[in-house]
Amino acid sequence: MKLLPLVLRGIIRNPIRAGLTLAGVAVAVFLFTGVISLERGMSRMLGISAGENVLVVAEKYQGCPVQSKLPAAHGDAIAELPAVAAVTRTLFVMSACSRATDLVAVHGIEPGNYRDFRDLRISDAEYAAFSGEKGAAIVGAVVAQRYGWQVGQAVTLQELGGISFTIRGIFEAPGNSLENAILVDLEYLQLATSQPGVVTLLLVQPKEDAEAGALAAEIDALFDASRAPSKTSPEHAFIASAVSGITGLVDFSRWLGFASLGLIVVGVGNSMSMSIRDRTREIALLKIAGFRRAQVLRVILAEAVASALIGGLLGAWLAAWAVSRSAFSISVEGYTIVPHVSIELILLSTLLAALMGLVGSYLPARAASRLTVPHALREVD
Amino acid sequence: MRALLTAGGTGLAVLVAMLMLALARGVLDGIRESGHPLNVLVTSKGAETIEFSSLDRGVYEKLRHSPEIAQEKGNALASPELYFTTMAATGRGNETTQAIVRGVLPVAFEVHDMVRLAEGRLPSAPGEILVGGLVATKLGINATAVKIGESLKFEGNVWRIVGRIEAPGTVFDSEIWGGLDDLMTASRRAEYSSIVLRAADPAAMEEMIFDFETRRDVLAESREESLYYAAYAENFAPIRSMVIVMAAMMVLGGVFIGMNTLFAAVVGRTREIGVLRVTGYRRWHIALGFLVEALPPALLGGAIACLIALGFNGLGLRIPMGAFRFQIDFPLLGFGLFLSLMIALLGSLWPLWRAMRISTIDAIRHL
Repeated sequence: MKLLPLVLRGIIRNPIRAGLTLAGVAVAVFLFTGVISLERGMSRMLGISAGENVLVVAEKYQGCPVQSKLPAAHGDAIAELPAVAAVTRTLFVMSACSRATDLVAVHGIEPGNYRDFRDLRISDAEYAAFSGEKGAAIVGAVVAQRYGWQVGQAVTLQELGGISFTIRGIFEAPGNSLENAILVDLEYLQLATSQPGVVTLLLVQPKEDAEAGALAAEIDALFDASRAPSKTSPEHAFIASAVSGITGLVDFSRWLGFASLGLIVVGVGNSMSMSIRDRTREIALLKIAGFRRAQVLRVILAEAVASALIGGLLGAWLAAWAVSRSAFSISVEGYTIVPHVSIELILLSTLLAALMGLVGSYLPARAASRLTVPHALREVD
Repeated sequence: MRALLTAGGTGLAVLVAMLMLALARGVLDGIRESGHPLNVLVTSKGAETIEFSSLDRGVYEKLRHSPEIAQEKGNALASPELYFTTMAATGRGNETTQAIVRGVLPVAFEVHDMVRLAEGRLPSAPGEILVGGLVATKLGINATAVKIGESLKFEGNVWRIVGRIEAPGTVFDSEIWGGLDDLMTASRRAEYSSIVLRAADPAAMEEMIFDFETRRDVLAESREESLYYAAYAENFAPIRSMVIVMAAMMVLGGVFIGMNTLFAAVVGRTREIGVLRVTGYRRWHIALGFLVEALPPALLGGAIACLIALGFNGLGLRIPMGAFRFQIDFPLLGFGLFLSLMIALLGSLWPLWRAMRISTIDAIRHL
């Protein structure tokens, strides 16, 4: 702590150099945080979108979940199994499957028990108005904001064969892919899209004492010999498999993010080696004043770490701001991934910046601490 | 040491920027180049992508005799196709991953002429398939698992690989191709996904599209195949924008490092500047001297980045609609070197301006 004034003086001694170093660190951390926010958004979407303990029944072999087609009657057969607590049926209508952005998705749901499976933040009055009217819809906050929709507005989606509905409520489901969806009554959507009796997915809530794996096998065995065999899996695994197409991009981006942190090692290392060269006289004086090697090393390392911490915090905060302001999202197989920067990610990015600063400055700092007084003074005019 | 660190910073910035640009270019160009300028794609009305399209077999029968369709050895170049995504596992494994399957007739090789049989033979019996060069990447498995003679499991059947197709840089490279009827039976589908027709010439293509759009006996949508893939690629434009912004920021990071180095050089050599000014050198001579000094480390960094980037050439990466291969070609390498030059130049501007503004009196004071 006693060395703090010395450290601060070192940083502000050369404002241009300090500014450029901070800016370099901030850019690298901005990139790292931005890239990792995509991966964090994916984990968050998986964690929130997948109902705890919920099983998903989809058409066997279907690679694109939203294209799964099962008879609605499968739901009745599943509901009769002793280990099943509840079943709800959904029909997804989308214009594309592997499309990356700006996807319009309509989900037909059974309003009666859908909220037992999904945590929707909406007033009971709005939900009741939606439940009581066949042509009504509740829309996710993200979709409503994107298109400027209001409650009471009548909407026709030209992209989806002219499906029409009246908005009776806007719901929030933070982090859940549903915020990008429009929810309408299942039967209404089946009729509007000429798919009577067809559903996309069945969501199954097992009884508390039921073993999910055994129940999944029991459900699939029910339909194995039918014209529409099913594949039942825990919802988390189901969504993870559906969005697996994007994992290659996410993994690659993560490596680029780590590579961008390398800029901090080089930038801070470069800056510190220049700073030490300019301060050979000061280092000599510190040694004459009785500073030991370890103390000189600590002063220089502390200066580098402080620069990296300030630049890192700035870059991470800017990335959090940019991510929160941008409307960027990636939709994969009907699930939307929105980049997410948490406080934890800001702290991680800042700490990694400090660590990279420490690594980058270690060699120049060690060389400076080993300078002998006669040698250091010889270097000085 | 300082020059090495500057070279390292520039190299790192250039390498990341190059890989990001290769990613954006590979994904978008791969999709765009999948369409042939003379092909007409017919899908069902309202289907934005072929996987959402289903066409009655009768549509094919009605369209295949159109006079505008090009002929090859007396056969019309009209290819009915089935396209779907499925969950596939290797012959020995049980873990399934998403695969893209296209059911075709032999005419598909004439219509999609960028696709060629690189190895093996065409399917001649039920249960035989061809795999694209990037199928292993798409499935996230070892390339040896999709060699000729191996098998894949999907749609409840075991499929034997009898050939390997190649269509570098297009979406077909990550697809599994099989016999049209065989795959329709296995996947219990009664309708085609799309029909691809090769027009005899551009005028015939326009006529064909007009005719199909106005016919009352065909309820389908027809468009230029190249426009379909261009529109499909456009869906990924936000990803491209994000990647370009990030590449630009990486370059900016490199500029800051270069600028820092040159500032130190200018400030540390005020005395030298004084000597030069006194001996008659002009301001711009001095600026030029520093600039020449800034270029070699940056170019060295750029050259190292290019060498490392070459290591990524041909590497496959899984993406939502298939897979793509990094293509590190001469234009990209040239661009990498150009970026390193730009980093050096942009990083020099401010320090050089400062160097030029040092007055002779100030400089002499340091003597």
